[in-house]
Amino acid sequence: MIRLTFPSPASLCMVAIMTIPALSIAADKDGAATACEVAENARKAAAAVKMEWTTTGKLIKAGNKAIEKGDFASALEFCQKAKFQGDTAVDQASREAAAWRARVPK
Amino acid sequence: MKKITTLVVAAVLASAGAVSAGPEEDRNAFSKYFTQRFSDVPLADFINGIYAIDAASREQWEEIEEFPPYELDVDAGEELYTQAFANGNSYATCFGDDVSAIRAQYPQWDEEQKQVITLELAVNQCREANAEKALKYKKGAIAQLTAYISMHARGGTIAVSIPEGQPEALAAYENGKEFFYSKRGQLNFSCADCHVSSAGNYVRADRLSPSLGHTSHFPVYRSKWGELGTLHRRFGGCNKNIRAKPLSAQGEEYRNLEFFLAYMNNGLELNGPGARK
Repeated sequence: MIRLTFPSPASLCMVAIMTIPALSIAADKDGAATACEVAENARKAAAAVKMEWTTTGKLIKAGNKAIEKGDFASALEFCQKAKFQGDTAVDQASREAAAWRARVPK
Repeated sequence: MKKITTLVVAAVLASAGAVSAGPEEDRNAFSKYFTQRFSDVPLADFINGIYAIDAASREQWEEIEEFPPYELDVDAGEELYTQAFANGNSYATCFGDDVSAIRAQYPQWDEEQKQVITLELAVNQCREANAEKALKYKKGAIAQLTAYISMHARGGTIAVSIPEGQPEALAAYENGKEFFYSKRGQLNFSCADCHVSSAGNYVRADRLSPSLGHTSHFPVYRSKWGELGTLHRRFGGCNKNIRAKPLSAQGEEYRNLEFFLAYMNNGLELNGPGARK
């Protein structure tokens, strides 16, 4: 019996990259708010190419909630992850613009 | 000089062909892929989805089909279909008197509107043309209406055409094809990753269905949903599974995807509505 071996190495690399610590931005209210704004723009860019991930908006929402609670370090972490996801989704769209052809049965 | 020009044109066309095959070549290769991979499954049986390749779940499904869970929805669909609109017209005003002839006409390329028209969109265009409110696209009345229409079309043949001399129609098909084979979402999967290259493999306790035949049996009553749903509802669910944000049901992307997939199924039998896990 054949068993599926998901996730693919490419997905694993993507998840691994996502765990890399984000660039240092001050974990204060302004820093967190800016990070969430930047993340929202990255999410919108991914949505514009119809490639948004389901997880990105949730991270931004969690980031904004953390700001409300005064937990700026968590907010920064959530929104930096969200920005990474938005950027990666846009990269995914660029890559797939040509890569998909290799998967068509010949 | 004329000879050189002819040679250059021929070379350009040949190289273009190498990059992108035409719809009929695509369809033949698609069908060949599945019939070779599942060599004991007759081509005509792929309309039964996962049940074509999974004998154990087929047995349960055949028992379910003895008392189909969509039966009441088909009845409700008939009632909706035959009810007159407030202006005195009815669906028959838009689709004609022969209900059995409707399903096989969709999805179709509409030259005037320059877009793919699916059955669900045609239903709503009919409603709006008669001053009725459009229905929501994923479940409920739209699924009941199309279940009734599909039931009458059972045994018919899928025959989607891409009209020649209309590059926009071919572009819509190509867009659908690109969507199908493009990886998306956080899990970085394409529709084809699951339903072509991994068809028949297990995801947890379930096997992945082959893509060939997928559009033949919608709308479907899914046990997971506990109700009837449309093909675009299923597209959205698949996208969610790979953590890609679902696009709008009956938006251009999903309609083009349906156009491509239905074309791949040309020649197969219509057997909707269906029952699935």
